[in-house]
Amino acid sequence: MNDARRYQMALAALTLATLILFCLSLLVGPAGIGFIDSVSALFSERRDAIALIMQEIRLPRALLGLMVGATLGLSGAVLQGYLRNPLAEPALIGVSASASLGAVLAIYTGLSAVFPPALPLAALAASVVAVLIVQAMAGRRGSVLTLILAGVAVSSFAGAMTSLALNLSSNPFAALEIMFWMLGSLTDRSMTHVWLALPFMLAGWAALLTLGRALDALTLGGDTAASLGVDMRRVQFLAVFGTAASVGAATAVTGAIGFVGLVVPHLLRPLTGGQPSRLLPTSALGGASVVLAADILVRIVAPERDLKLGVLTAIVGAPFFLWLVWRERRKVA
Amino acid sequence: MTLLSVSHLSAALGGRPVLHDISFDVGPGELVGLIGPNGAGKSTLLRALMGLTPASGAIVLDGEDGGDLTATRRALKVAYMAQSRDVAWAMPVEALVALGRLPHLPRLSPMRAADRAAVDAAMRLMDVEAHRDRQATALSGGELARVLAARALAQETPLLLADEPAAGLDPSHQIGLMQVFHSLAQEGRSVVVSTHDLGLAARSCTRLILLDRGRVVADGTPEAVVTANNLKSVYGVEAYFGEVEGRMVVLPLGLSTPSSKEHRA
Repeated sequence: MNDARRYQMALAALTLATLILFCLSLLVGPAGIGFIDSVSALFSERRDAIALIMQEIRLPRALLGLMVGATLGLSGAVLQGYLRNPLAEPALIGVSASASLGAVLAIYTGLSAVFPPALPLAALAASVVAVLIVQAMAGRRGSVLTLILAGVAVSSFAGAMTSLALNLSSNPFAALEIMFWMLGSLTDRSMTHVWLALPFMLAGWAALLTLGRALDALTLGGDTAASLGVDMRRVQFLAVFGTAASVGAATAVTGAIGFVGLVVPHLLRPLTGGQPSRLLPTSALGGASVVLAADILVRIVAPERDLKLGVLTAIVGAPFFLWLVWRERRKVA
Repeated sequence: MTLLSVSHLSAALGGRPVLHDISFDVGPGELVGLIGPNGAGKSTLLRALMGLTPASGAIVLDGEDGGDLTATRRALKVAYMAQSRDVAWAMPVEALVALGRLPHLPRLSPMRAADRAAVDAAMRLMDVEAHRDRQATALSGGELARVLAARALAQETPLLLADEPAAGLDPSHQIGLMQVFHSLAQEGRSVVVSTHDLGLAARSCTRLILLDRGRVVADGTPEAVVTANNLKSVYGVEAYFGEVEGRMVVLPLGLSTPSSKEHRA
């Protein structure tokens, strides 16, 4: 089977998987609602319990799973391509940690209790500050190394400030709330969260999806890419701001969900013939599938215990990543 | 008429001057060999011509000021083979060669028949057609070098700058590569190629430019540039000179007496 054919098959299979998982996500939950009832309730004008559950609880949850997963997969693929490194992930540029800090501060100050949308808004504001710092540090010439180092520094600082907030938290319930929020979850999100995150994600996706050809050229290194007509400063700007907007919004509404942005592009790369431009749509769909599946699993495995999505992705993702590394090691040896 | 015109080019790396006041023109039909010892500034000169290293002075590419060219317009005028042969992902050879067509493709357009023809022709010229479906990361060093050369040829530019493209190639492919460059020149294009292989450069190039410590020391026909005196003073080597079928043969034999090298320093 040739490369282009395998890629088209992969794309079709992932689209199908995403659609199925999205529908499953709408159907699975503690309230056992039949298939026909669920679907009709989704589009119903009535305001009964079933319609409320479908429209106010399950629909935003499934939509956010789709959006957040696509964001993580897409931005992971772009950053791995831009940095030419299979270990790159969205958290690298400091946006996730900063968004977390913003959210934590909103909980810590009690602002989110008074005005719930303050939490995602504070997270978004913090990620904007982070990306401005990182971009300013990397400078106009845009060295990749400076970008990574600045990202590490910003992440560490945001992590330390988050710890400080926990440390100084006078009230154990606030500390617990902060901890739980940081674990990452799609539970109890509303359509407000969807509408809040969507514009940032759309803007981010639009920026990231324009980078396909530039990332292909970058396979041969920055100099060759530049000689092929790629404007490297523009690429850096779009990669950083696209990731910041979409991942910042994702973290703002769900907390940190690890390993998806790292593992999904890595796993799907062989299906794309190593071409970064093909990895962008595949990885977005793959990320959406993984997050939707994990979010369904969370509801099935421990319906009573509110198992956090971020915990599950890390528990499954880390050993899986270890296996990938093991496989790569054998290939190199 | 010139395809490349360089005047008073100077450049520094990390505050240390590397190129001093370099001027030369390259016209269509020329295959120029850029020679000089390690650290003479060959790669920096090629990078400066590509706008990859900041430099002062004027560079005119195919009639247009290098500083005014957009990235894409430059990519339609000049192709560049970097010294580094690092390929980040396991991409099939054909896809890698096809990257050379990027500057020709309109936004969002897939490869057209002409692009595919250029890719096939480039792969045929560099004798890599048989590797078409192999992963670039699984090739031998010499095979990869030829694939990367094919990538640059697929760009179909009037001017080609190549940084040590022949390094690591077996003799038949070295000669083959220089023959391809020679035929490009005969079509009216220009090729500037840096190399450490003095014999290959003297045999195949129509003109040589000898760099030493950032300055042009000699510029002219191989016979005028590769002289016993120049080799002794710039490289510090003694060489055998001969002629086969009207073409110059030069073979470095040994280090020249230490005194002459010290004298230079």
